[in-house]
Amino acid sequence: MLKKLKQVDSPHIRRGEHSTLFMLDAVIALLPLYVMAYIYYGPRALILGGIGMVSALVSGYLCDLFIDGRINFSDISAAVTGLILPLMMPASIPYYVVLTATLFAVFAVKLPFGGTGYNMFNPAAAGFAFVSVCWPDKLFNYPTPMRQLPLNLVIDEAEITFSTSVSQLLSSGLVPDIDSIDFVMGDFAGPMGVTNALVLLSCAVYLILRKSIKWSVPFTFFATSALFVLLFPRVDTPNHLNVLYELCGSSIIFGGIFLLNDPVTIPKRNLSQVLYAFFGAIFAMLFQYYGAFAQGVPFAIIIINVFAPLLDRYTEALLQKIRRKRLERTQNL
Amino acid sequence: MALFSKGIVLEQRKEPALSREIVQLINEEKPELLFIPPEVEGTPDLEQLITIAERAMIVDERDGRPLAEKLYAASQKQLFAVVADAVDDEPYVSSQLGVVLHHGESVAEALKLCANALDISKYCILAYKNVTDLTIKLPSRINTVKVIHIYGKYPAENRAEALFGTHQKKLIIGANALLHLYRAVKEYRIQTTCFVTVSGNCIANARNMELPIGTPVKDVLDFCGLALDPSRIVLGGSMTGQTITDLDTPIDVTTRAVLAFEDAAVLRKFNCIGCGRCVTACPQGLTPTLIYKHVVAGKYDGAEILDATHCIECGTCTYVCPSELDVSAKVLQAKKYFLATEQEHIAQKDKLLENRRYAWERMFRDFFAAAKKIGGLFSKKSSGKAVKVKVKK
Repeated sequence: MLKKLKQVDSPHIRRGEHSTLFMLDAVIALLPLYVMAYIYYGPRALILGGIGMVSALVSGYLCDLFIDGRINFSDISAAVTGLILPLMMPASIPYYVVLTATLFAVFAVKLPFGGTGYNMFNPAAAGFAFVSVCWPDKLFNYPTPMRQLPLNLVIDEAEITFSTSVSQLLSSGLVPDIDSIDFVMGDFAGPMGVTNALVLLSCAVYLILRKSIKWSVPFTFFATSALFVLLFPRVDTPNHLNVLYELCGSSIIFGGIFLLNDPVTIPKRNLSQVLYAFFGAIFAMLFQYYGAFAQGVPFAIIIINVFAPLLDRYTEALLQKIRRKRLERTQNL
Repeated sequence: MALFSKGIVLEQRKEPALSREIVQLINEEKPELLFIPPEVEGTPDLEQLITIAERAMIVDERDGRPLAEKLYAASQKQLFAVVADAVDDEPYVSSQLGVVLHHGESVAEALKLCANALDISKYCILAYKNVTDLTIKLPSRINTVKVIHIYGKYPAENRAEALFGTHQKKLIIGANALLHLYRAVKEYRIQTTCFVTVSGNCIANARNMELPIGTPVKDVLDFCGLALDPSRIVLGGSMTGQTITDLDTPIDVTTRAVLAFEDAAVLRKFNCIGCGRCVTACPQGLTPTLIYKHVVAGKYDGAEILDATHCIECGTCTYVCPSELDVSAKVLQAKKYFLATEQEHIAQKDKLLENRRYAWERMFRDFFAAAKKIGGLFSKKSSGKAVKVKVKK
């Protein structure tokens, strides 16, 4: 009458939340950015995103095949990487650059360490760093928004009007002449997904409400960068405008939400996460100020990723003392 | 305060077992066993109560210790309070809470007897009230005995122990044992039964039962009926219980529940993605994800810092894990490893100490032996004199 009974470890009930949902949340949070990119740059933005996602998913499944010998279709973490990567690039980027970036992200950053959950660096940041070294002229040349871009495989650069991005202006000591509302809405030259500060912040609210990320990490990241800007301003403008230009003009907000909160590479304790965000912001601002490229945040993320286990280690040593003291107190009495 | 404690909110699923009457399965061949009571005038004093508990062979279902032994141990200490424990914080389990709800007066009476015998003025019943089960109505007072509700997240059992402050010593007795004590005092009955919740998503007729000790699990399942074919049968709570494969396993006093579950699907394989859910949930403030990774890699050195030995085995980390990994099993493995090595360390230290002690002794022995020899050289004549003196006498 009875089936074979199984011997299973406790507990015997589960919450039923699944990791795929966790990644799906990130995908959902990224979609509004693609809507904004579509409004500013036309269908080319969507094609770039599609190429990124499909190539990343396929290479992610190939990765699974190499490591486990079978494909885990519920693992869509690669799709998140593939969707993040084009957003950090200009809409005029050739398709092969996105393809190279995703392939590098999956095969060079994820595969050698053992696949999903084991990578040491954020794949998206590393992929971006790789292509920024290969094609810096294409990657940091931003088209003017609200003009439809052609869908050609290779864009004739004479056809498009390019503008200088805010971070390029700031690094040469110039004050950008952009309306504040436009600035918050992202209506200025820059990477296709990182300029919409308002949309980005609403994505962050969604992720925080879904408990995918903790509020303390992006908050610390933004606050530290803002403080850095206030202490060492680059251009002579009112303070609030200066902070706005530095934070929204570069990919600080995007990086603080989507790159820094990558669950695999972030430290695990609250305290270490805050420290991680703090040092990450300092590195990011140093890259913004003294880096050779217009976008320095992905490089800062890579550097701070290295220190994540170390931060966890030191925090754990501190927590151990607290825990032991508490245990002693309860046992002695 | 309790609402902000670490842990998880669990859907309790105690209904319908809790509100139904407790069913008695009685062994007809065996008549009710009675014992010869000591002579008691009025309320029994401590010695008489211990005798009654001993003769009735009452065992506390909380920890499996005889009640007489617990009472005796408690009488040797300065106690602050006597507490009846009905904290069923695990889902599906309500064997203690059911007893308090349906036989509350007897439990309260027995608690009063214990408090009187131990000469303690403070006594209360603890019951767990979660935010998710608002339909269950707990009384705030049973026969002038206060019922303290413990609110908040799972696990609550360790919080119950910290009630009145951790520095106050208290005697915690399970509600079922108190009911048995009441029966022993009033009716001179020996404890032959235990209270068990039969529930789970495969049980047709979930309810609390009073069973003779040693009833096989098969009989219980037959009585309550199976709606589905279970793939696992659990003795104990849904969070901490053990699965059994043999249906002839007898039920003993410490078994609080028999649960039958049907698994929804095969577990999907997924790596740990490091989401940190277990870290926020762990009531002991540990980092289960890092311990898990250490154990999976088989690398224990450097993991002492993670304090796996502090684990209370509540199973919270596995419950919340979105990758459906057996985190708590791995943490437990680490805990066992470190406890073993700790004992090894202690043994080694003892050995060292012993060696050192022996070294001192050896040194003294050698020193005295040498001194004797040297002294012997000088005092040969004197010792000879002494002998002469003795002879003279």
